[in-house]
Amino acid sequence: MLSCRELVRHSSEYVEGELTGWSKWSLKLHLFICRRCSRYVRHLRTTIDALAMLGRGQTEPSREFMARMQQRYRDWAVAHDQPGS
Amino acid sequence: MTTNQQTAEEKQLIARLLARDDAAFEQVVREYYPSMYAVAAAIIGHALADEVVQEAWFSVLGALPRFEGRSKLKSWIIRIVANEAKSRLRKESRSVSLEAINESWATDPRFAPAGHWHTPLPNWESDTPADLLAAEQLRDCLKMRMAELPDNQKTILNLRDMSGLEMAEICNILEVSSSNARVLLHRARDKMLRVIDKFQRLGEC
Ligand SMILES: [Zn+2]
Repeated sequence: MLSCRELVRHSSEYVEGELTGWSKWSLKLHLFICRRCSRYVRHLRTTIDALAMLGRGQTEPSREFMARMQQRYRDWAVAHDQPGS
Repeated sequence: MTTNQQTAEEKQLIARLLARDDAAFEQVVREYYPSMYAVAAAIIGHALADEVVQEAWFSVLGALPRFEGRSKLKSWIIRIVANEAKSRLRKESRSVSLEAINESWATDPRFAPAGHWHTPLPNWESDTPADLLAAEQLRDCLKMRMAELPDNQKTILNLRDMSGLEMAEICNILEVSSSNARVLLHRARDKMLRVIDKFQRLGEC
């Protein structure tokens, strides 16, 4: 039978639904009888969701960056205005 | 038959960008910034990431009239920023290495030699992401520990979990095998899980 260590090692693939066939079933079976690994997998899902949530609040563009972008967008617009179009 | 994945929303956005709509441009630049920045920084480093994102946007605008909507707009833009970063990297003749390092599960002290749990995780008091992240100390701690991850693990964690890109897309941009990427991703996630676990048990980072 699959060891807890092996289960933990492949748990990301399991939660992302990337496992198929026997590997998937052997993990499912192990999780059915092992509370410790079930808890690990539950915490792993929570961790992944927490990271996504943390990611949503991260890296805003700086004000200088936005100002530069706006300026260049206007320059680009002027350069691409065809006469008569 | 033509496959057309372009949504009405995307079509409208493209039309607004081509019609020199400042507000639409600002909105889309802000919206895509975290993913674009993560990709650029992953390839070329933080110092030049902003510059690369900026250049990528002007390649995007230039090519936009010919965008055929065979892929989603965001995927297309992500590919452009990746290419921009890579060509920049070639100019600087540096290279990135994303080899998976061999941190062994075999010697992981959480498991007994036979492979069962030696020190199993306890239940967590806060069990939802929102509850967990309500603690500012934990948010800071996660960011700090993330910054300390090996570059390759940090990059993949950032692109996959923080920015929500698809694995296939990530392997494509970074030119890594999917098995390699998976190993790195899971290592990084497992470390972040342990950061949360320690915080839950001891209230410290
Ligand atoms: Zn187990």
